[in-house]
Amino acid sequence: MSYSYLFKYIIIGDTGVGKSCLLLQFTDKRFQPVHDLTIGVEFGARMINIDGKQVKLQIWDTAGQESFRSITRSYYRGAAGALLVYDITRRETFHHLTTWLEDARRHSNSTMTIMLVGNKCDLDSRRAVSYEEGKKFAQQHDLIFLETSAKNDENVEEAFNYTARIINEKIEKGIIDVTNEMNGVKVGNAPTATTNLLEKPTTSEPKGKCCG
Amino acid sequence: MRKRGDSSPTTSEYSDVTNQQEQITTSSSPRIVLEEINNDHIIVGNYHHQSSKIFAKVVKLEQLVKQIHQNKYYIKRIKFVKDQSEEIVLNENEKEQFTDLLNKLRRLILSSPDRESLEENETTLGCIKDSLRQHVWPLLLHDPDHLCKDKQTVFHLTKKLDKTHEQYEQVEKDVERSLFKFLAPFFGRYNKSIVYVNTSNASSTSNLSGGVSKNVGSKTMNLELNYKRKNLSLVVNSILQTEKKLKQNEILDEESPEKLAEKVGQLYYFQGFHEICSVLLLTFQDSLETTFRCSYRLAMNHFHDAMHSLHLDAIMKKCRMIIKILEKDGHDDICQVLRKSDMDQGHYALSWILTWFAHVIDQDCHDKEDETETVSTSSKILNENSIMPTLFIVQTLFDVFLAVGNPMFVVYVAASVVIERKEELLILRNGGSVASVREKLSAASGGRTEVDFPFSADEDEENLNYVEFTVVFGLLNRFPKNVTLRWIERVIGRALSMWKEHDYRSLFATEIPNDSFPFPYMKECEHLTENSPPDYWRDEEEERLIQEAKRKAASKHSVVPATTLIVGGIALAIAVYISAQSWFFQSIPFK
Repeated sequence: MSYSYLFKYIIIGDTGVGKSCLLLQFTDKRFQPVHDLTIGVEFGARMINIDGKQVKLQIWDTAGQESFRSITRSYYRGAAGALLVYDITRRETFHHLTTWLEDARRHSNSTMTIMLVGNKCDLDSRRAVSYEEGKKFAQQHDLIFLETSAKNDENVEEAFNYTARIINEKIEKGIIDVTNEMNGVKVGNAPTATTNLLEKPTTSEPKGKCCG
Repeated sequence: MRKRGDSSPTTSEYSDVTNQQEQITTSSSPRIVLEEINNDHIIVGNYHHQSSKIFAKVVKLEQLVKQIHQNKYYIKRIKFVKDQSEEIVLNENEKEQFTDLLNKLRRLILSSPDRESLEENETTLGCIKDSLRQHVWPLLLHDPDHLCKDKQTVFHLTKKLDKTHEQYEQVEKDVERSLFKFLAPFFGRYNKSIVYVNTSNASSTSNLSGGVSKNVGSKTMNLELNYKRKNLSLVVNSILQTEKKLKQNEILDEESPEKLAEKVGQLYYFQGFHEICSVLLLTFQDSLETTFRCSYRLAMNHFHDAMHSLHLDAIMKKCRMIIKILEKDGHDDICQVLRKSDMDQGHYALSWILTWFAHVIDQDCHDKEDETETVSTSSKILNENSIMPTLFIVQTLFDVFLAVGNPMFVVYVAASVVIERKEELLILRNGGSVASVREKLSAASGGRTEVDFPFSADEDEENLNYVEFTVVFGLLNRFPKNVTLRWIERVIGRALSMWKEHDYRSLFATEIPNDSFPFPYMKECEHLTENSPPDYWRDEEEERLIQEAKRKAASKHSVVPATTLIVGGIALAIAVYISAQSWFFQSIPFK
């Protein structure tokens, strides 16, 4: 299937918050309870449908440990979207968000769309960061926010799709210059302007909060 | 250093031992060495070998290890470590004999003749058996006290872990998800014949027969994982906390603790170091003392550049060296592909170099499909088509890295891996439709390569650019699935010849620091590279045969140059004569 656009994503956040698991759930529809840690970077890809357009997502998954920071930084540039992930059961991963955000803003292009993701919401009994806190942080820093569970496949699709939709809007409004590949968008062969009204968008509005 | 082939007093000394050995083969074991070999029914952390060539190498290795253990210098060193009060004079001559034996051992490990007679998944490269590795690895890491189980070492004191240590939590998190890929195959169809022997008898659960239980079931596997992870956490954390404990004077040593702490320096953990320790832990079968000491030595030497800095810039430097080796070795086509796709920085090799391939190699695990079948012989378990478990592949690589001993060697192996995948890289360069490239890649790699293209699947344009960061990164970063031992042997063989041909000291004169071997005992490894015969990975017998063949060939050929010289001389004379004549005749009409 031809695509209209290719969006580059990057997933960042502390080690062990479930970055690789989110990616695996999104691309392969499976969950691996013992997931090998990431050294350096890895990537995955999947085709999605945004307003009738085929969009290919190319997602770069990065190592969370501090030692790898200087290496992963070079991948920030040339990304259209970023998933900034924390673990709702570990408060320190929430505290580190400010550093991650600063880092991302400094090394990426200004048009990059950042989504804040509170992962592991299936572990509600061990919750250490409330939904409201996450939402508040997102509002303060002008981010989109979702809580997800890579294990139960809750809001995973939505997290990736929602970001894609915003990037698409930015393209339509002319905020993102698609001719410059450094913005993380590549134009494909399929039509980009016409919207296929017959095809129902596969994505629904994000549910906002998962696990009730 | 004494030259190869010299008859030395040591050789005659050992000849008795060797003869004895040959008579009783391996069934007898000396006081301290290789007790496990007696148990025929147990395959110690390895599969049963069909090939007699492999068996012959095992015997050779065993004999050499025995010789080393009987070396006077070695025995004195052990005594010295055991009870420090005793005054021991270390003889320089004996030390030299010891070093020679060690070098012999290194060469024997690296030698792998008889490739043709072996199966795809057989090799004579490396130490082959865990029972051998348990003795060889500490020797190669110059750990003389590895046999003194009663000695109170640093480890005993660091065992009381400081849970508030700044790196503790990170290690715990990584240990939590460790070991699975190494252990999983032994709970599949291998479980019935391959049994780990726990030499330390430290297993907390009585129904476990050593490292891996004979019983199938996820419950047992979880028990096993938990037990091993606890051990792994102890080892890794102790290593990281040693410096602090030294500073706090909690460790008493004859050397002043401050001085020692200074020498040790702060160690920075990186994700992946725990995987190196896992390999050692599984090889030493939960002997925590040995695992600690050997991992510690690796951290201080082979992984010095990664562990003595908060950032991994030194490793990225090594990654960038790969393309230089490729260039020097004449692979301009590969270099062109790498440069064009912005891969010259070598990002793809980060985990290879960082963990000695322990992270990236991940073989498929078999399912318990033939659970009901009673498998009595292990030959059934690992036949030609079966997949070599991750641990065996990684251990063989570790054998090689330890035998070469130089922390730069891994870069040559990385370069060799890239060369191994040359065909695939050139397929990308030659381009074509997505479907055809996919097909060619699959054919070239035996279905092992899976690349995600940033193009749509039905794109049939011919001018697509495959020489692009994502594609090439995707190809190289994802290691080929289910590599065989033959594959590993090819890669190592090539790496060793490049290591010999393109000396790293001249190739990277500006990149490597003056003191790449921080500790004196590592100097010997460098010494080995310097003074050893060019093909030092061949064992002596092989070397002798090759030299003989060369000599024979040389004596045949020595006649040839003389005749060519004479024939050439005559031809030249005739040519001169003719040209002179023609000139003479040509010049006549002008007269």
